[in-house]
Amino acid sequence: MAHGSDGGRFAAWGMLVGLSPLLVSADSLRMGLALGSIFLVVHSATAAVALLLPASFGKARGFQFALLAGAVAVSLSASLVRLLDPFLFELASARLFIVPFTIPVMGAAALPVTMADREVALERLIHGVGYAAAIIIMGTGRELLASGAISRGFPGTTTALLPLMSQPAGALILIGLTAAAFKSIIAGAKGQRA
Amino acid sequence: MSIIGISFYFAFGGNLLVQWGLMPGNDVKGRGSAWHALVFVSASALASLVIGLVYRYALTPWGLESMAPVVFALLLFGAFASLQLVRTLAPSLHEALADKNSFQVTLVLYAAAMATGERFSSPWHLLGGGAAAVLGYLAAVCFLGAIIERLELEPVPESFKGEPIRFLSAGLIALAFSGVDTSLLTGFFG
Repeated sequence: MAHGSDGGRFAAWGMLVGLSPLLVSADSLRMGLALGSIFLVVHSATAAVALLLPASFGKARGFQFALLAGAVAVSLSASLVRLLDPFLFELASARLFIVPFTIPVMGAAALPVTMADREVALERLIHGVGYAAAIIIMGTGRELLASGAISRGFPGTTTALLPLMSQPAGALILIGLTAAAFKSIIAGAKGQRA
Repeated sequence: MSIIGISFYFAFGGNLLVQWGLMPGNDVKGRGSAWHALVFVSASALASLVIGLVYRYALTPWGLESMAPVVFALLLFGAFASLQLVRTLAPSLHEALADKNSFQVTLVLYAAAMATGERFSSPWHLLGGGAAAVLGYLAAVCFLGAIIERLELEPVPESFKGEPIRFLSAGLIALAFSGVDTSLLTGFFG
């Protein structure tokens, strides 16, 4: 993982690419909440296990152990979703199961060896909350744009505003436009500071 | 669905890049060697077969579908151990198999296995589906890489350079690909 201001920026863009499977899957508030909360559980479990393991465990073995903890966490979370909402499980199980193999979670599974690594790992643990919030916001925003309303239960709203936004193509376009907007805001803020 | 239908489905409407949002890494131009592509396709066919069969015939009858990620993680560690063995026995072959985008490769393999496993149950369909899914993904990555290379020559606004334009291009590819869906292909290929 890259460090420093430029490195941090590139790492952030890398994480956006890594998070894109979940952002594309979150097409409604319901799906966003399910994916976001499961992501938070899995990311936190993986990062916590990686932080708690002793350095003597070895990098490769530590990574495997932390990733396995993430896989177990997603299995338990998916079982809970199945108990609470069997239809949502049938609809989204393949997308839920991909969570431990996304790049942010695999990045969090890296075993910290030095003190600097541990600080970065702690930061990553906190970043997980931001990623989960981004998934939920994406789901809500896409449903709002697609239908012009937010549904609280299945089968969702019947109105249509911009139906493209509920499709993967719409999600990718929305991510691109949001990233461009953020880039120009950051560039504007930097220009003002200078 | 026939093998031709499966291949067309995974090349267009069900493409992993556009349906699952599996964007290639920043440094991937989609121009890897034929050897890498062959290894990737074979690994996907094998992963889809194993995961699909385990999912259908070991987990589903017992109601343990939720355990699929744990099974995949264990298989992944098995593959890693095999690679370590290859490193010991033949260092030159290990160099050829090494991939700096291994996280992304793992994600694509898992997505291919899940996308195939949830649709098909026959071993031939699982093998063919896994191979077609990764071939379709590699083709789409090549296509996206060519568009990005071409866009480097165009006057793209500063705020759209880099990741934003990659996502927008992928979105437009997805829009074009999603026009070719399963119902159309089923009509043609059965």
